[in-house]
Order: sequence, then structure tokens, then C-alpha cells
Amino acid sequence: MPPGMGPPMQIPVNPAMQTLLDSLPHHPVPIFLANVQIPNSQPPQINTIAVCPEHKQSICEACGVDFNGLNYMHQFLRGAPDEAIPPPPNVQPPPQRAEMIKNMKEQGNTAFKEGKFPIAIQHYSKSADMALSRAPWELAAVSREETAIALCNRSAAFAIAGAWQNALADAEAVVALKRPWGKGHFRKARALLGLERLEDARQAIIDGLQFEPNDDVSPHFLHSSGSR
Amino acid sequence: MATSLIVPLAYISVLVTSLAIFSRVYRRRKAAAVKSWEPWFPKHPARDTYISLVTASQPDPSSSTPNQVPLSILKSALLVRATADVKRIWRIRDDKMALASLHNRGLVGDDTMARFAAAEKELEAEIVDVVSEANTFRQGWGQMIFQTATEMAQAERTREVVLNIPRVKVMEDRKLAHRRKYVPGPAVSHAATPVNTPAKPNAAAAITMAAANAITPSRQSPAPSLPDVEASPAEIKSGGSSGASTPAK
Repeated sequence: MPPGMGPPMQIPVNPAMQTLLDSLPHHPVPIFLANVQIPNSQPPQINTIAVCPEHKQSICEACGVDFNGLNYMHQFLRGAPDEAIPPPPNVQPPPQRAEMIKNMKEQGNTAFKEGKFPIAIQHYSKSADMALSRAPWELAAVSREETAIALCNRSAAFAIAGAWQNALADAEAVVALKRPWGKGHFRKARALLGLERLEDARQAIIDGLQFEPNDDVSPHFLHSSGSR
Repeated sequence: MATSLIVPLAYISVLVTSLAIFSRVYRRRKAAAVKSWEPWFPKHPARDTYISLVTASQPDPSSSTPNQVPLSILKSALLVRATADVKRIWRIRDDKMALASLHNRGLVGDDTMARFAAAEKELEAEIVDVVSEANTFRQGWGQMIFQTATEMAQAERTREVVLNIPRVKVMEDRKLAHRRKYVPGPAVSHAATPVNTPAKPNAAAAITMAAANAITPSRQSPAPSLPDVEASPAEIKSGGSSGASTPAK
């Protein structure tokens, strides 16, 4: 999917389009804005969330409404003044968040080298959480990279600890996020090998080699697995 | 006598009337055919939410209560609407290529192409509407809102992938349990023994919990099957070869 799309900025609104717009069906959505207090906040702050009027739920099957996206976005925009709008994606955010994410990852790496795998896994999980909870209007590719790296390391930690299903789940996510990355496929093959699925592991290695033909670790792994 | 003026006038009037009736009936049938098409996208909840909020926030001259809907909610609703539109743009682009090739091969009829063209026009009108609404909040925001919305839609895709991880894990557990029934391998003890993942992992914190739960059983399982874990040197993150840590058979 092409990452960016030129927005049609200067389309003049001609009457035909206006009539088309007016003819689009509109079904009124029952919405009710509830003010809830944020727990553990001093001074106590009020948060406005959108809920359905009858059941006071933000996702309600009976009313057929789903306000989670709206409420999530509202968390970020809540504190801003009325004139503020989310900055365009080419504006660089302050680098503290990137620093924190990297620090978490480094802590995870040190714990990994010391052999304390549960702690390493926790650090990697925290790093992935922080990468995901950035403001949504920032550049998505950055958070994708950070999440992919954190999940790849976590998959390695799981693999060494022996939790192959977790390792496989993480490796699948890494491959889904960053398909052209050879290491993601390598982790997937490692996890599949741990689960005794040799053919799938070979296939994963071959996929990885498609993207990075100059890798020399993977073929060695392939041969050593083929010898069983 | 045929030389009176009535005859040609009558002829012309009958002709015009019949043509008018025919054209009205024909157009009505055509319009009915267009309306009876199923719309390409089922419905657009983000747009409905936004319009409902805007109408709720219109200052009501009859009532005395002030405007209850905060501006931040309206902006969030507009951003959500723009994100939904970006996702639709992606889908339309994919569908366009697919439909063009299918139509070339004759597998898809003209009415489907007409439905698709109508959907494209509606999406265009919707985009123009969003841009103009964005400009009412702040002049010039309309230019940027779709870039912002694209980034938001991609971030949502990343989040979906990550939140899918626990589900994949549960499926893998099931697959392994199924496999164990038929292929009892020597690796029974070194694979993670049935782990108690939480039933509804919805936040990423649950992933951490699942992780912590997952590896404790394997650490406690009997030693002889896990020589690789304790014996192998810790791998460096930059993916050293796993030759040293392959499980001993």
C-alpha cells in the first residue's frame, strides 16, 4: 500500500458534487457525552468520553456503536487549547520518547546477556508498549520500526527460554510488520524449529533469503536443521 | 376540412405529450435502477458520529443551555472520520485494480463497474467535505488533515498486528496440543507446558503477563530436557547463529 496520498486540496465544490454530498445517507448516531473522573489524579480531572445513551458503554453491541477510536483520540486532544490541531507528520516530535524506548531496549539487552530472561522479556514488552502509545499523528513508520525491533528481541528471549509458542507469535508479528527484514524470518524459523515443524522452518528461511540473499547465518541454520 | 389549424396543432401536441410521457417514465425507471443498487460500502459510522455531534453542538436558539459539546470532541470525531476515509481510499484503490482486471476478462458485469464508479464519486465528495469541515476549525488544516489521517491509519494497522499476538499464541497452543496427540516427540518437555494465558488479553500489559506466565513452567520443568537453555552462552542480540542453542536430541 502506498504510504502517502496527495490530498485533493483544490477541488472546487461544484453544485453536482454538492447535491451528491447532500444525497449521501446519514443515520443519526445516539451519542451521549459522559464526564467521568480520572482516578488518582490530583487535582481531580474530568474526562469527557462518548458513550451510548442507554447502556453507558463506549462499545455497545445493542446500539451498534463503537466509540473507542473517538475516546482514544480524545485522550490526546483533551489537554490542548481550542485552537490547537495535530501537527503534520513531517514535524519531528521531541526525542525524549525515542530515547526512552531505546533505553528500555538496551536494558532488555543487558538482562538478556546476563541470562535473566523474564526481566528481559518485561523490558522488551515495555519498550513495545511505549512505541505503540505514541501520539497517533506522528510518523507511523518510526513506531513500526521500534515495535518490530522490540518484538524481534522478545522473540529471541522467548526462544532461548523455551517458550516456543510465544516466540512464534512474536516472530509472526515481526514478519507482518516488516516483511523485507531477514531477521524476522530467521526468528520465525527458529521458533518453528523449536516446535518441531521442520518444513515450515525451511520455508521461513527461504522467505528470509528472498529478501536478503547475502545473509550467511540463515543457510548455515538451514543445513544444520536439515541434518536432523 | 383539413385546411384548419387544428389538425397540425393536434398532431404536434399529441407527439410532444407522448414523448414527454415516455421520457418521464424512462427516467424514473433508470433512477429507480440506480437507487436499487447496493452501495459499495455498507455504512460509514465515523461520518454519522461526526454529523450527529455537530448537530448536537449547534447552538439551539430555543433552549437556553450553552453549547455542550467540547471542541476537542469534535476535532477527535473529525480525525476519526478522516482516518476511516483513508482506509476506504486504500480499499478503493485495491478494488479498482482488481475490478479492472476482472472486467477485462468479463467476469464482472457493467452494473458492478457502475456501482464502483458511484462509490468512487461518493468518496471524493466525502473527502472534499472533510477538508472543508477541517477548514472551519482552523484555516489551512484541511491541507494537512489527510496526511495526519494517513499516519493515524498506519499506526492503527501496527496496533492491530500487535494486539493480534495473544490470539496467535492461543492458536499455536491449540495446534501444538493437537500435534502432541499424534506426534509425541522427545520435545514434549522442552516446549512450554500449557500456559495459562489470560482469556481476554486486550491491553499490551496483558502480553507482558502472558509472557511472564508462559516461561515460568518451562523453567521449572525437569532439567535433562533443557540443557541448551542453561548451557548455551547467551546470544548477542544481533542474532548470532543458533547452532549452539539447538536442543539436544
